Amino acid sequence: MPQLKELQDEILNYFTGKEVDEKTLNEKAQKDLSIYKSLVLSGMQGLIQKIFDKSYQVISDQFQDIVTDYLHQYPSKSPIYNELCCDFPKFLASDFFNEKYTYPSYLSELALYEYTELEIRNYRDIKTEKLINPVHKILKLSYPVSQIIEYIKEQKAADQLDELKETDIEAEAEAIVVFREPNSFETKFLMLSAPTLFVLEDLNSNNDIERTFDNFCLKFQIEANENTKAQYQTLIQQLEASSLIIKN
Amino acid sequence: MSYKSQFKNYGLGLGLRRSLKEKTLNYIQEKADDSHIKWLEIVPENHIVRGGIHKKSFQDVLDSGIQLIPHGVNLSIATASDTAGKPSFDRFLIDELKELFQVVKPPWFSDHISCTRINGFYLQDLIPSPRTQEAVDVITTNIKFLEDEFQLPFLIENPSFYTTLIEPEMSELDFINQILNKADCGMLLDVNNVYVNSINHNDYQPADFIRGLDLDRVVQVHIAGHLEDYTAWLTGEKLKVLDTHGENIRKEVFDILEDLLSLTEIKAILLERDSNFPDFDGMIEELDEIAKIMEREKCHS
Repeated sequence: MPQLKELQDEILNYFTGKEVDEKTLNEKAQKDLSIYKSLVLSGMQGLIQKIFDKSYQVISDQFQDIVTDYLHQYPSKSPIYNELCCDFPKFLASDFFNEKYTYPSYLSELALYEYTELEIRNYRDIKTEKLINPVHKILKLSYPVSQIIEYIKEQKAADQLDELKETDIEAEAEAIVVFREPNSFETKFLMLSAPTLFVLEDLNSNNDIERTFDNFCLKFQIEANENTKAQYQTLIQQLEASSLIIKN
Repeated sequence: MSYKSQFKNYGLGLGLRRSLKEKTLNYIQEKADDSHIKWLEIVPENHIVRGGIHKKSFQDVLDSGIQLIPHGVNLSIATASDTAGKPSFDRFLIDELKELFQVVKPPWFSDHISCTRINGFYLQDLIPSPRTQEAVDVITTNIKFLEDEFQLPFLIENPSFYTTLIEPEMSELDFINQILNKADCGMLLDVNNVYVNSINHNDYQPADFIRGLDLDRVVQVHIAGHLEDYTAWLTGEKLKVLDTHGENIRKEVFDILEDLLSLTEIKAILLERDSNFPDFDGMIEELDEIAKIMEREKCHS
């Protein structure tokens, strides 16, 4: 009779696709456990399809295998159900995935964007003295994910999803901030130009609008005069209007 | 003093589900004292580490003043520790739940006799415990640890199970009674799981099973629906009955509830529905059916 710990170690091996010691967990028990594994994988498929709606359109032809591989490669360490998907973008970027499957190279960044939306929506409320909206995440991507999302929507509307798998998109750096509007709790995103990205990151670290203006001028080698100050103030106002800067 | 005399009577309740939240709260408010829903059960893991719209939505429920009772899925009381005799737990989860329970102020909390966490990994389903003496000891240690941490009574739920994993050392009934006795805890009896296990394993009749339980420790009841004839897509394994919480309650399961209520007082009864929701009126019809059974049995006692 195996000890409970040994038995449970083998159950984990079974679930994560590793070799199982049949003396500890026999063939019958493994067959019985396949009922649980089928239910777990069905649940995961539903959740991943929901959270990664656009990425799913690209990988739907081999979705069942992909989700099974994901469970085997990245079993969840979180007791929170939604978080079982947190490593899915990392999995799509892994050597394992890219050696086994052939999909457009933007896929993992698309999935990262989709997971970030969920993460920001659910993010714990934070009380802060900072000027920058604390519930935000900046993504520096190699692909134009915002355009890719539109492209996938168009393909879906035209019932041409089959083409997605075959069509790669040229790399093009893009910075996006995903954030939560503090009153409506709506999740939003903004594409960031290089100056806006700098302002957000600098303000986030020093929390001082005047100091960020000085740093901004230094960074972009701009003369600090009334004209540039006015342009900078306009940018700050825009960030305030979009709730990325919150002045209490 | 009997075990369950420490608890007040909460009556009939419903699981708090996001898609039904508005209708549930409106119904409770409109019906007031005539409402069938006297309390709501929450899956506490769904309400931790969450802000924004989720937190606001949960605050609406708290503000309604209705009693909430947590029923966990990931405390994993059947997980063996690396060190024999020591409890197995996830400190992060426990600390988060403590924070939640301070707000919810529940009379008790519960989870299944199952293993959902192994070596820090969550399996996302309720894997049954083998029915061994060692497992009784492990589960007892974990329950005592949890009651000490939370300073709340803990109830174990009898899960539906589709494998015994290894040759059992004891019956399901002995296993449960031993845990109740050794851990000195209460029980959440899922009458649908009694039915599901009786059909799938053909080990007992539900009436015999409930009469064999230490009924003084049965504090809460779950009643739910199930699916007949399930085939696992991964291997083609077949089951006569699958516990889904996604179907209407069958007469056979209502009968087990009625039988149970003729034997003992239950402090809280929950209609458990997690998926494939009917319209809200359909839920109320099932609650009405349960309320009628409760009323009949109250008259008998």
